[in-house]
Amino acid sequence: MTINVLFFGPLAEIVGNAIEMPVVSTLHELEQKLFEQFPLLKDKKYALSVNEKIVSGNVDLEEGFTIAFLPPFSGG
Amino acid sequence: MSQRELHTRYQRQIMLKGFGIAAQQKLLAARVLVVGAGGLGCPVLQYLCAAGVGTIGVIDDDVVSLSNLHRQVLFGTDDIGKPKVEVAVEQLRRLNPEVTINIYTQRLTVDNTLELLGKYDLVVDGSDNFATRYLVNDACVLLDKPLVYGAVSTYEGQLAVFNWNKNSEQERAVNYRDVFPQPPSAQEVPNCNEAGVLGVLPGIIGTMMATEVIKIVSEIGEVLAGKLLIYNSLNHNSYRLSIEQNSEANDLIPKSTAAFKRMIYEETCISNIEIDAAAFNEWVRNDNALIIDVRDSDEMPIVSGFKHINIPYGEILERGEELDSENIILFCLSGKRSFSAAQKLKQLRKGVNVYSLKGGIESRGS
Repeated sequence: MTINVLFFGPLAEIVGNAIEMPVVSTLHELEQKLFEQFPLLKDKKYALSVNEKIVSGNVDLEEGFTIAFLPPFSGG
Repeated sequence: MSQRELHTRYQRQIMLKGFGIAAQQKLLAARVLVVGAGGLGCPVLQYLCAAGVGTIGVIDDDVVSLSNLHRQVLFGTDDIGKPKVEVAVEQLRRLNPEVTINIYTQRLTVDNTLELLGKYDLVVDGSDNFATRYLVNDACVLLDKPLVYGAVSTYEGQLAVFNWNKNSEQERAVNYRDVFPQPPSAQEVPNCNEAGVLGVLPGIIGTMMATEVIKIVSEIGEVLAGKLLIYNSLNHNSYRLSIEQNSEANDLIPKSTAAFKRMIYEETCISNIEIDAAAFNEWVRNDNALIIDVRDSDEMPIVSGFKHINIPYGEILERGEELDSENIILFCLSGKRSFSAAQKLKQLRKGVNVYSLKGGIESRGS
């Protein structure tokens, strides 16, 4: 009963490339749980994807979903 | 150049099945602007020039420095201190004298961007800062130009084609703001110099950007439109995400030339703009701030219980001068639009305290 969570760029330095989290019902809940475990994540800017689709706002989650935290890059 | 020489120079791509003379002619007729002659710009310029893109523009106001050389492969040690575009154009003319190369030793601003981008069919963003990235994105949306986007940080790169939607006339194509509606603050993201970058990484991402340009112009393959590709050089993993329209992006992109010219893209210090619900309630109690709802006037829920006026997000700058208070507090539903509006208003009304309710009216509960 888990959700897969992936982290990219500098966010991976805080959390690791990937972790499994217990199932929660919404994306906002997942963020809250992660902020509790990884307080540094809270001040970071990122976009979120659910099952390889970038989303805005809150989204319902189910077991086996894959969420990704995507930071903006500006380097060229 | 004779027809025969032309055939010989591009022979190995003309002979490709699905490419041929027709695709080569499209490349020769194309006009592409490359923003930034840095780690991404160098390989983009080299491959587009080699492939025979007819007219290439390159804009960059920087000079070559020693710490550029591990990744900016158009430049040599004896070029240190010289303007990047001037060194680049020399190298590119040696590579392919048939290509017309226009150089611009300047920085893009709200005043020169629309005119410059208007001269090209397609724009490549290889810049190194968020201010330029948002400026170029918004200009491309306004001018309806395809934008090939790439960015790098440490060992990872991002690639996408924005504002390109060949198959649907009705639906707006996605752009950078659909992924990241607003630029991050200085605290939220380290800049490139702090973050560091593996030298070959912009080479890889830049070459992928050039590939997208060639595909778009010559109409081959499947363009990476509506997708964001994230590439990791440490394990060669790539992750591909689909992008959908984000309504916040619609609100934030300027809708006219005049609105574009009023935008403020330079990175500014935006700390201390956001206040939490407790501080907001304190301002309400003290009754010495002008509180403004920046949502459209018909947006729900209707907010009551404290004194405020309504000025929609799109009008806040035009009416900025008429706001008669030393303290101005903006709010919206989630705190995003009001944050963006507060940043701009603060620029316009220096000396006035401008705040945004963090988390919006949702954060106050009911």
